[in-house]
Amino acid sequence: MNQALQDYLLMGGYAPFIWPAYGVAALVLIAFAIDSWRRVHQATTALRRLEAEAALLARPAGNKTAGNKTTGPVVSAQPGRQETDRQKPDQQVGS
Amino acid sequence: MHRFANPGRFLRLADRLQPWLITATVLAFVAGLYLALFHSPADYQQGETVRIMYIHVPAAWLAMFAYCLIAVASACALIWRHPLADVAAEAASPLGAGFTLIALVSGSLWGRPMWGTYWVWDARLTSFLLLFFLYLGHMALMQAFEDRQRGQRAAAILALVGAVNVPVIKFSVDWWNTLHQPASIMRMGGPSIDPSMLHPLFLMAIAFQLFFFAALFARMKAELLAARARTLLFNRLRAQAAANKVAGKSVTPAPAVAGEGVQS
Repeated sequence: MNQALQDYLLMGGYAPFIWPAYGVAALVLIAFAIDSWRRVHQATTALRRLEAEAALLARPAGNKTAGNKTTGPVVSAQPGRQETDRQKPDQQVGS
Repeated sequence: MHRFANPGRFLRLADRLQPWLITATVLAFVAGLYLALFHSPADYQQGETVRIMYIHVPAAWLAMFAYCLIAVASACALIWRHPLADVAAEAASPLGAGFTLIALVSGSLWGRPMWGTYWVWDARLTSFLLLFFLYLGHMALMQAFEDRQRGQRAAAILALVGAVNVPVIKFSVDWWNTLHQPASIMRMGGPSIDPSMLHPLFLMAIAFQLFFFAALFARMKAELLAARARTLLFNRLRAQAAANKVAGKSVTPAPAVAGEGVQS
């Protein structure tokens, strides 16, 4: 049995050519399999994280943007205008 | 064909196909390797080295098939701007390069005992080496520009120009005197190989083909998800920039406006 296995592995003296050929093929294919799986895994987790963050950001920011759209220009523009109103006289005084 | 050019539809189809593809790939490899390494006989001339054929020939077929796929995808990308075509070409390129490498290395290891040399600069070997460099060039061009689309277009043009090499590879053994043997499977009058060697060869070819599609779909999926993530990130950054602009306007531009007022 052991002798038969040895004879088989020797491949009629061509073992140094046959096994490396299969080895290279196995190496390349296994590397591609692992790399392809890893790419999908990384892309999936990255996208999930971004989507989760987007959902988190959307809740408070969603209220803000909704506020901006409806009442925002009125409410938030007032302090801005006050600032410019306050600055303009200053500048005028300066000049 | 056109229906699957929709990325969302492609993702759903690929997700459904993938487990079957992977299972079939494993089964085909197990059966193919069993036939190739244990069941098939040694060649009366080449002895046991004929077993190298079972990976050399399928790898070479796939190397050419992948290139044809890239060329067709590139044409679709350039002419119709199919959203999936560039993704397919980009995903197939490294796989094709890998199959080309397997074919080159296994062929070299087969050539040493049978021809007495690892390498000769004959037509088949040289054109196949050129295929490998075309793949490398295609992969490099894809990444060469900061603007992804420019890289994709440049790579697509290279792929189409390089497609002239595919028939050269195929017919090199007929057009020139080469050390490489002529076609013994895809030829007029049917294959000239005994079924005991033909069956493992076809099984291994099917296994390689299934592996190619499984890996291709996985890489395309990864790229499509990455593209979606890029869009999300871009939108978020744009929203942040817009928010900063709104916040900044109320503070910083005021002196600027006032400054203009001073000048006038």
